[in-house]
Amino acid sequence: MMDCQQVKLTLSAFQDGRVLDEDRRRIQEHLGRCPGCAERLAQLEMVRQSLRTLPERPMPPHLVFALRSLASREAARRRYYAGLRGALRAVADRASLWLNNLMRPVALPAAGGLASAVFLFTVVLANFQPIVTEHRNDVPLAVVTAPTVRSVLFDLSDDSEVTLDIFVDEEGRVLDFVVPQSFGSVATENMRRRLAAMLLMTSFHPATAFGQPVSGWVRVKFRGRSEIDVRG
Amino acid sequence: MPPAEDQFGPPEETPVAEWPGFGSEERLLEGLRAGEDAAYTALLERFQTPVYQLVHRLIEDPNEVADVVQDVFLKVFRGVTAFRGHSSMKTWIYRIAVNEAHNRRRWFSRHRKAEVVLGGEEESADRLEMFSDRGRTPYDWTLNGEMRTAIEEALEELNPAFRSAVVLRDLEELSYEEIADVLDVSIGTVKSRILRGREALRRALMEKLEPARGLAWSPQTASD
Repeated sequence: MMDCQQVKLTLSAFQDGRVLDEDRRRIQEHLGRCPGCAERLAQLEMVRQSLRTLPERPMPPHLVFALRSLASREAARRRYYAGLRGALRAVADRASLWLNNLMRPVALPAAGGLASAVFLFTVVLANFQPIVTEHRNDVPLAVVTAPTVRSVLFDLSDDSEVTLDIFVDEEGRVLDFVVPQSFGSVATENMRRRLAAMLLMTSFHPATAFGQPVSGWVRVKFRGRSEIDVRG
Repeated sequence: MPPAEDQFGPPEETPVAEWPGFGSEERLLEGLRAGEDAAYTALLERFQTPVYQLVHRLIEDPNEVADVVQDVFLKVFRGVTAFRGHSSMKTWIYRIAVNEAHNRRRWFSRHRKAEVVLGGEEESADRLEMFSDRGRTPYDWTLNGEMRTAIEEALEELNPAFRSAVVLRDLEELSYEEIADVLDVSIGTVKSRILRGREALRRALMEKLEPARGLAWSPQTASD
């Protein structure tokens, strides 16, 4: 059973046939016994009929003409741009083909050249050591450095001189030494022990590779008292 | 008296738009995108009158109607490349028309306020009255002329949101789904706006036709 308030809210949808069959039946039932709602529906129907029979306003001739002119202008504009777009696309295609043809023969040599340049640069970079190790107390990060003498306690007579190849570990300790072939040899075991004892008291800065300490050989020439000459 | 049952049929289907010389809407769109004159003419012939009538019902100043209609078609012609066919062409064009009318009305109401201060309210009201009578012919002043005038005035005074929904439904005879698409609202909102619009029109009409009774009107006294 529907009351007047519910019917009032559904009359508009009822007019347009936008209610369920069941609701429609209930609304019709209510309308049959409620003259107020039936009258309201009749008035709504009158409103709708009045709206539907409102006369069409005639379009002013100048507007019809203006719209035709607008359509014609817009069609021409569209054709122009369609043509222009087509022409631009053709030019772009041709340019792309030309560029492709131009680049393709040089692509392989260019890539090879670039690769060899990169390779050579990385190889050559390792030889720039003297340039980058100029600064004192600097830790070179990008190159390999040789061990260097930190402190020495060498007891040689003033006129004597000895050259040794010394193996220094990553903590700067001497692990081994040999006398280079062209610089004579150690004559006696006693002499060798003496050299070993002296080297034990000598400390080194370890060799570095890219900033990290590593072990490495170094050639050192000891001359007189505390005078040293290091060659990497 | 309850209305006869066959008075309210199911919601009428909007007939499929026919495009003489083009067949389908897709073909017409292709024509529009390619700049074919015939396609532009076909579109105008199909829509210029409905759009004109629609805009006429949605904005108050008749002088603005021609401008708005031209703006609508300019947007339609320029927008065909962007139109993806998610909705029908009809609802797309109606949506542009409703939005344009809405924008113009807002612009107009803002600027008219300034105009009233300068020119005086009476002059402005007189001019509106003069323009609103322009479309009337002697034939309108027949027996139902009074009703027609009353409904037109009531329509003009209606809240724009309700007016759009009622005009699209009762004058342009769009389905609820199409109206929802045009106004970009839900079907429930469409129903509610039509209901409230019709109800407001009914009240306004009763007041206009029977001013002595006015708001005290009751069904019993009106039926005699």
